[in-house]
Amino acid sequence: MFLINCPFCGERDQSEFSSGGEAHIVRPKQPTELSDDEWAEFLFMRKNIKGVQFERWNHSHGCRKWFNVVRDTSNDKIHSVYKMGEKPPVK
Amino acid sequence: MSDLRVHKTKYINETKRVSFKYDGKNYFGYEGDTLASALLANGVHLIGRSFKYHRPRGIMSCGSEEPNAICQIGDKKDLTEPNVRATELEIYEGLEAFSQNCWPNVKFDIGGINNLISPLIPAGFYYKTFMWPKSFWKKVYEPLIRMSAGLGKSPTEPDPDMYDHKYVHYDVLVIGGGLSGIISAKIAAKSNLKTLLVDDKKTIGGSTIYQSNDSFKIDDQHSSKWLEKEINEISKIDNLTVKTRTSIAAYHRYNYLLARENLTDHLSIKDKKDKIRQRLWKIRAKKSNRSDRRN
Repeated sequence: MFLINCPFCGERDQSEFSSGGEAHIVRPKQPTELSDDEWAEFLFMRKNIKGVQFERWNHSHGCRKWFNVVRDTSNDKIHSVYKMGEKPPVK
Repeated sequence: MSDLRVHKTKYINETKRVSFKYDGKNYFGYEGDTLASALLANGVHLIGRSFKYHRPRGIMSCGSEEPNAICQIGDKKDLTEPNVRATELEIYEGLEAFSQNCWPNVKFDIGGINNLISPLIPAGFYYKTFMWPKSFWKKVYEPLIRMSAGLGKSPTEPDPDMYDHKYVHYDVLVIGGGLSGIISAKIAAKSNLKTLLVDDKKTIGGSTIYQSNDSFKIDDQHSSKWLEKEINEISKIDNLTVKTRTSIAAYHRYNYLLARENLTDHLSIKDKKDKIRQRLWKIRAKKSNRSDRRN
């Protein structure tokens, strides 16, 4: 159980948060024009990296706001936390 | 009482006798004894039987590392506790302990027959033998195997005791209250860090508490004198908390540790009534320091 530094509330236990999966997946502008394969690609396909991953997290038992986290999935080390809409840090 | 006991030690109060039962027989020890030390002082060496071949097992160590001397505590359906290390359990008035994995008793154990026929039980015996005849599995083999599985007996009714839990945050957590633990906790606390020192024994001091002769010296003074002075000194530091009878059970990421504090297990049955038995500490430490020499 790791600690997450919520950009709105400060450092809290992981149990207060819920994970929203991979971040920065852009919704296609014209979904109706996509083929089934392309739509499935957007909906379901995720990278599942071992290593540094960009994720969305929600402080569901706190301020209930969404934000982004850069986390190493192999050792749960959190490299940085940034708000929605902010530019992701470069690796 | 045999003369195996080392007399006039500081941590055993020889003026207060405590009576307890082991395998139905009455014994007595003194306040401060563990079940293991009280049994040894009474000349009891055979504590249990090994798992498969039922070979005799006695007391091997003096703390949480004990692999052999494990007992069943109590015989009530709701309060009995299996696999308690005799070296960790402090005796109390009215304690009832039993040896495990033996029938009819620990000295004459039917299961010991496994030891005699062990040459007939090669590797893979179970997988080969219990295959046929097929109809035997459900009615004969499985009940027999289940009967011989495990060492102690688990309680069959809900636990009536009360338990507690607590979340705490510290700058530094020191695990193990021996010499190095005491010193590192003191240094951390004196540098204005909120410090917690935990130890699983009832007093801090580690192996220093057993050293009472002149060959053990620290800073040119008797190690027990030194210990007394240090304990007195650290009890006055405000931002240092000392928890005894507390053992760390898990070490999770980001220095999240779980500890079990024993609150009333060492009290007599009369005194422990209506009190909280154990407390689970959920500790978040900025830094943790293991000072036990075992690892």
